[in-house]
Amino acid sequence: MDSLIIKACAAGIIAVFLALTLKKETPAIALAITMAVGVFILLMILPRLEAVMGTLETVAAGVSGGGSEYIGVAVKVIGIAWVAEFGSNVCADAGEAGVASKIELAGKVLIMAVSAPIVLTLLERVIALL
Amino acid sequence: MTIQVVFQIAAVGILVAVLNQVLRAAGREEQAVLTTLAGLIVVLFWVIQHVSSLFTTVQELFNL
Repeated sequence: MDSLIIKACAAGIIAVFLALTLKKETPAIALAITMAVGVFILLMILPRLEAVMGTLETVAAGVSGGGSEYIGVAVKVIGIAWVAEFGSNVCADAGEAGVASKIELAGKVLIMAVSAPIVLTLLERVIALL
Repeated sequence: MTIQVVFQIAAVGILVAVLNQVLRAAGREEQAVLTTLAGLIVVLFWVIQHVSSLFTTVQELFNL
C-alpha cells in the first residue's frame, strides 16, 4: 500500500524520540507530541479504512438469508472500539492506567448496548428453531 | 494534518524547557511555572483541533 506504512513508521519513531527528549522537562508536552502523532497516523490511514468498509458493505449486501442489515451495527462497534482504544492509549501513555481502564469500560458497555438488538434477534431465531 | 504539527509542538516544548531552566536558574520560579503553563495551553490548542477533526471523521465514517 504505497508508502503509507513507511510514513506511519517514520512519523512514530520521530515522535517517540522527540517525546523522549522532552519527557524529563515538560512531560505534558511530550504527551501532546505522542497524541498528535497518533492523530496524524490515524488520519493518514482513514481513507484506506473507508475503502475496506466499502468492500465489507458490498460483501454483506451480497449475502443471502437475511441479517445483512446488521453490518451497520458491526461498523459502529468497530468505530466505538477504535475511539475507545485511542483515548485509553493516550491515558495509558500518561501513566493514568485507572482512567484508561474506565474509558475501555465505557467502550465495552456502549458496544454491548449497540449490539443488544443482534443478540435478541439471534435468541429469537434459536428459540424459533427449537 | 501534516507531520509539521508534531515538529511545531516539539519546538514549543524545547523552547519551554530551555526557558524553564533559565528562569529557574535566575531564581524566578513563578515565571518558570507560568511559561510551562503557557506552552502547554498553546500546544493543547493545536492538538485539540486535530483530535476534533479526527473524531468528526471517525463519527462520519462509522455512523456513530
